[in-house]
Amino acid sequence: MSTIDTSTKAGAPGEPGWKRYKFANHFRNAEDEFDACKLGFWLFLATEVLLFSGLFCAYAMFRMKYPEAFAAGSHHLDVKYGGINTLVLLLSSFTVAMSIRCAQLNNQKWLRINLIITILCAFLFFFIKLAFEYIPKWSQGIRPGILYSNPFAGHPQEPTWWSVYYGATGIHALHVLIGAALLIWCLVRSFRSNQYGPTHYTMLENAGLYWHLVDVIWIFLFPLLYLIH
Amino acid sequence: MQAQPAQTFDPNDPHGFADLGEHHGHHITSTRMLVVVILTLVVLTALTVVTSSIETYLVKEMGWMLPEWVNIAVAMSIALVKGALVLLIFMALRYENPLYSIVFLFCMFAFALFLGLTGMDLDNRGHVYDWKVASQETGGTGVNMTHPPSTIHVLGETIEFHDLNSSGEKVGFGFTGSLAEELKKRYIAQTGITEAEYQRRWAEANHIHDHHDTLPSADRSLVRTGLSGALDATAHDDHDDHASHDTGGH
Repeated sequence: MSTIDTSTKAGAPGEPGWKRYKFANHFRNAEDEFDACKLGFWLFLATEVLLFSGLFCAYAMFRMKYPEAFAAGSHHLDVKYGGINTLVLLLSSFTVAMSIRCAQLNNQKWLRINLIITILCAFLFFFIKLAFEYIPKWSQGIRPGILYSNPFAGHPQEPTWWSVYYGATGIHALHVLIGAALLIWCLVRSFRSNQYGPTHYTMLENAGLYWHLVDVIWIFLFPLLYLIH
Repeated sequence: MQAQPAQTFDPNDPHGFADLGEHHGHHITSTRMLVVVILTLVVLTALTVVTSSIETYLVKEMGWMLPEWVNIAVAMSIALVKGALVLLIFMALRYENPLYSIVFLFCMFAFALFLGLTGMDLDNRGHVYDWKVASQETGGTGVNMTHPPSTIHVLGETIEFHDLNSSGEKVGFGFTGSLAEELKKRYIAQTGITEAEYQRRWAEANHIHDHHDTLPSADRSLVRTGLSGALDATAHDDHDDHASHDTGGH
């Protein structure tokens, strides 16, 4: 009787996906594959931070040159919406951490519930940003750089502030949408074949890391844009 | 008869590497820890919003003179603590392989280098320009040495300055041609309103209802909500801010 299991990922019907999963055969074991994936993902996150560091740098340099334009622009932002969005993202970070914990403990039901809450928070964040901030401001002519057409600028360099604002929050909002798409993909895989469990949850872990990074970026954007005058 | 292998074959470890290298099980963060962290984050968010509004209140309503760094330092310190909590606990840097922390710290080092060197460049432009201007005044065509200086009157003071280029043409200075100024000009031209009416509408659009009824200009800045200082804000800039407040209706 041969004990060698040559089955592929689709084998062993009836078993949950995380039990069926076989690590790629160039790794020594599942642990090594997980570590390699995660290291690669951290390297990717480092490049993401460097992407945003360009925006933070632009913010810092323009603020050094035109602090009054930044104060005038920041005056138009409502701390209420920024604060609510901060809480929404913090909550979603907590629930995605909880869903990874549920994967580690093989609690499939709460894994999905936590993921669903996270995804809803992602869309709530985007909705608040769009409906209460982007659309009203854009329609008043408060737009970035050369598109600025509001005649009542508080400072001649106020359009520069709005370039930084739309650039930073726009790229962040794009990351929110990408993160939500990744988490939806995770949720679909979980529903279809219980893909995440104690011995294999690499994709959920990495999607979670991405989501936490989106949260960390917002933790810094919120005071920079809304609170510092 | 075929010999049976001594050990059973493990399909998840076909080469028997399981005992080689370090084995660290995945850390499972406790619910208690996650809840403590999220509650701390919420409290810190509230704290940073409250301190920011207290600072604004003290400066705008009570007339306190807070140092310029207070507003930035308080908000960014709280943000750093919040970011560190998410990175260490939610992203589990505290529990996992230190290699991930090294990757992240190296990235922070690159960020600091990027921000620091760019800031140093911008911060020292003034010294470079001063040095260039000085060398032009004493050397070159000497046109500014032989012609009388131009004068402007700002806040009751007469300021003399040299604004001739090497060909003896007046260069002038200021924000002329900036986008917002251009928009203002066009708006006034299109609507045919007076400068005073424009100022009234401007104050309305910017929610200014008290004594701040003038526009900022290149010569005289108007700090409405700003608590943080300019790059070249020095002692004499503070004096200018006082003066602009005193003569708000100028």
